[in-house]
Amino acid sequence: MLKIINATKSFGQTKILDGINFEIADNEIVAIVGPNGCGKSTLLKIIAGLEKLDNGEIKTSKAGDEEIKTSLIFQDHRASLFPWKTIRGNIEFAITKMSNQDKKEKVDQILSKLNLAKHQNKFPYQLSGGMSQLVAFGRAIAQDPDIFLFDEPFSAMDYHAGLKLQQQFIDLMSLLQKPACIVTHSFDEAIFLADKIIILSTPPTKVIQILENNLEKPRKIEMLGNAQAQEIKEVLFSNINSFLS
Amino acid sequence: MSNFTKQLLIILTLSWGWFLLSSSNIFPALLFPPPQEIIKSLYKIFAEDKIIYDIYLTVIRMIGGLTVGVIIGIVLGVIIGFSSLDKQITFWVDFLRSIPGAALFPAFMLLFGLGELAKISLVIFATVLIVIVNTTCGIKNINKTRLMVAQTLKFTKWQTFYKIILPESLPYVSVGIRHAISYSLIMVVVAEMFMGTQYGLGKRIVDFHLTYETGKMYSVIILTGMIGYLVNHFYIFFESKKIHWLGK
Repeated sequence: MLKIINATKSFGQTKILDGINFEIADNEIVAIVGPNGCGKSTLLKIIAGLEKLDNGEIKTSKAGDEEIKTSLIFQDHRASLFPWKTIRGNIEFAITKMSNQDKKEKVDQILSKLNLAKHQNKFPYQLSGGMSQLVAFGRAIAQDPDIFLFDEPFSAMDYHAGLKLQQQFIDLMSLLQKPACIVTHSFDEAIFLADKIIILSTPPTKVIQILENNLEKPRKIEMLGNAQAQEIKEVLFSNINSFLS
Repeated sequence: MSNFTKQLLIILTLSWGWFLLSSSNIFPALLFPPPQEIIKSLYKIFAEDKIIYDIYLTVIRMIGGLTVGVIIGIVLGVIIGFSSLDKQITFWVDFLRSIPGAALFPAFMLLFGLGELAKISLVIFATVLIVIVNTTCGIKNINKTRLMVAQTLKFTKWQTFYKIILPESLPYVSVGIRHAISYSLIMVVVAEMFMGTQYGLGKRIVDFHLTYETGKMYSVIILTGMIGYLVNHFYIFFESKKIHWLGK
């Protein structure tokens, strides 16, 4: 469980996050949507420990001072992978403190889980965008995190590749049984992936609404066309004008 | 028509053009020898003039200076790239780089004498500066996302440096090395021409010029070009193997 309490952050004179509160339960996938520049990605970086809060705190179920382990998946898979390493090498990169034998087994496992075993000796630039992002996901799994953080992971690829990857992504997440927080611009992604959708305002950013997403599980991408999805979409779109202003 | 045939036709056409031009007597044959004379000379410089030893010395000077220059250049480039004085230092590097290497011959002769040290030092000086500029540029242009990945992987500073920053700046460094290769051959040949030496391709070009053996002079010039081409292409081949992600 992860609790964000009164998260506040300014850059210079500009207040970006203004008292954000929400929580991510165990195994829950939370999507954060909000207008451009509202600090969605900053929030993710704060959870990842890459940025510090000015005020507020992040509480976890970990005892004492122990930090939670996070792994962050970036929008730009070309930049986040290492082109001088093979697919296998990229995933292996995230594993430290392990004997070579254990490391090999772990990477083998991840590769087969992701269906990437036959591409393991290729280099990232030889893969499609969707597959590269899958490798980045594999590296995140190798880190064995307490929570997965995704920063617009599907927006650097074409629409259909994105849909395909979302299906793979949600299937994997249900296998992994880990919480995740995903920042996105796309309402469809939020509806398809998340158990809970947090809607943020323009800066100084507050939480406008927290939406429980009851779309049936296991999720299949074609459900995005059904009536249940449309209902959720309606709520999301009722906020659209504040996003566009 | 295969590429090889095309190339062969081009060589034949050029030789024929050269032949026509030299036999037209616009320039005296002594100053502008016909191609068959140059081919004969090419044979002669190997058979009679032991040009192989000159090739050996020129290449050794070039590769020696280049190797030392590249190593020093990478080390200094990395230091400057991380330094808070990088803007100030870059000014001085740019300034030194703007001095034509040949203008420094007298100074280097005064400092290092007339021997090998002066020639190799000149090559080092010229190549170091080129490699510094490119290495610094590589360090400065590290992708921010990759640095964040390093942070999320909890890499130490040293791990971040040798696992991410170093390989990522390699393509930049390599461009520097490629320039340095061309420049090092120029510096060696000119140094051999003007700094006094017994052997070396530069020295041979000057000697054959002084004795009006123009056929031999041109054949040494062509030989020098071939060496530059070979070293360059050998490096580009090596680069495409080692830095396979370049431009991808």
